[in-house]
Amino acid sequence: MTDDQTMADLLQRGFRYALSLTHDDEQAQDLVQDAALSISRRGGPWNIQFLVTVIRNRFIDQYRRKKLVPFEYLEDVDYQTVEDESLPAPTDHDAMETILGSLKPAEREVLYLSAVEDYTTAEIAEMTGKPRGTVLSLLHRTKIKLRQSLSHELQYRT
Amino acid sequence: MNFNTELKRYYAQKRMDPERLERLVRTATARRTPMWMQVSRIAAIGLLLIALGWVLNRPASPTTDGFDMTLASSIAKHVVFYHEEPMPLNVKTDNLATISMEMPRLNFVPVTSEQVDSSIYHIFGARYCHIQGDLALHMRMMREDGQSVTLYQVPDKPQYDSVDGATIEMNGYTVKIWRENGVLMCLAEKIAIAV
Repeated sequence: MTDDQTMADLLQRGFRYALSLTHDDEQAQDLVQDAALSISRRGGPWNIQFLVTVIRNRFIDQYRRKKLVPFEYLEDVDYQTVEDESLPAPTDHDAMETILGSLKPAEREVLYLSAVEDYTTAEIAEMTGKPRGTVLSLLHRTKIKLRQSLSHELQYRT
Repeated sequence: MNFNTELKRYYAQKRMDPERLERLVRTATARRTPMWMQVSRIAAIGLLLIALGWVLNRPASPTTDGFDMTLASSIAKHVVFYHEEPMPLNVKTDNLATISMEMPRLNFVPVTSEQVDSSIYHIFGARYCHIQGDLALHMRMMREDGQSVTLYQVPDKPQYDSVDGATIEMNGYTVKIWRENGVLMCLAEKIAIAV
């Protein structure tokens, strides 16, 4: 694999992660571009963990300026084990788009890192700077929310 | 099929704009710095510090005197980079009020500048961008002679006091930086070549 191809794959992964935060293609591309240029200026390192960190920090900065709080910390007290039972798939791409759009950035982020990138909760906790219990709790709540949305979607379709 | 499989498929279909990705890969790989180059860079910084000592013993240059040239250069580099990149515009208009209305993510009101003569510089669109981590307005303009020009606006901050009035020449462009009406402005245009 060429250097260019490796870099392109890394940036695509960064873009998908950025998309999990923004749920907006254009904004995600801007985030990746800013992050990549920033890493370039400091001479690396070029790895997914660092790219994710830079993208995340830039995203949070943008939100702070707009005085929104997307990454509110959830209390650990209502921590529950995430159910293993898998969720049903939405009927089509549009339904997935709508369901993901109904989630908060922090919810989409943990869902993406866990379900798409297959990171463990400990790894996600390290990457996002949240306690592991908070990540588990957030994942649990996200799954509950998804289950509700999916059942509404199914009712609507049938 | 379960949700996770479908979610993986959903994200796998999402791809960056190929042209934009290619440009970014080119920029990133061109600037990747191997270890030996980083060591050379440290050595170069050492030499630079020695040279700086020598320079400080001479009368200061009028163009750099009093300016934080590190900050000014960083801003200028960013402005020139995005001036050269054919990024899509968020709004195509020649009207500042329309820009203000159509770009609600801006947390400041774009202003007209007394230093940018509207009879010479004509706005044709704008996009969101950033300066030093702050959401900025990147206006694309056309000069009367057909030259493309970029004007950035970003909310003013006390730290910009050190770059107010600075002029940087970079990659064939002159970048002027100044504060006006609560906004930091950066104007990038090609250096005029005498014929």
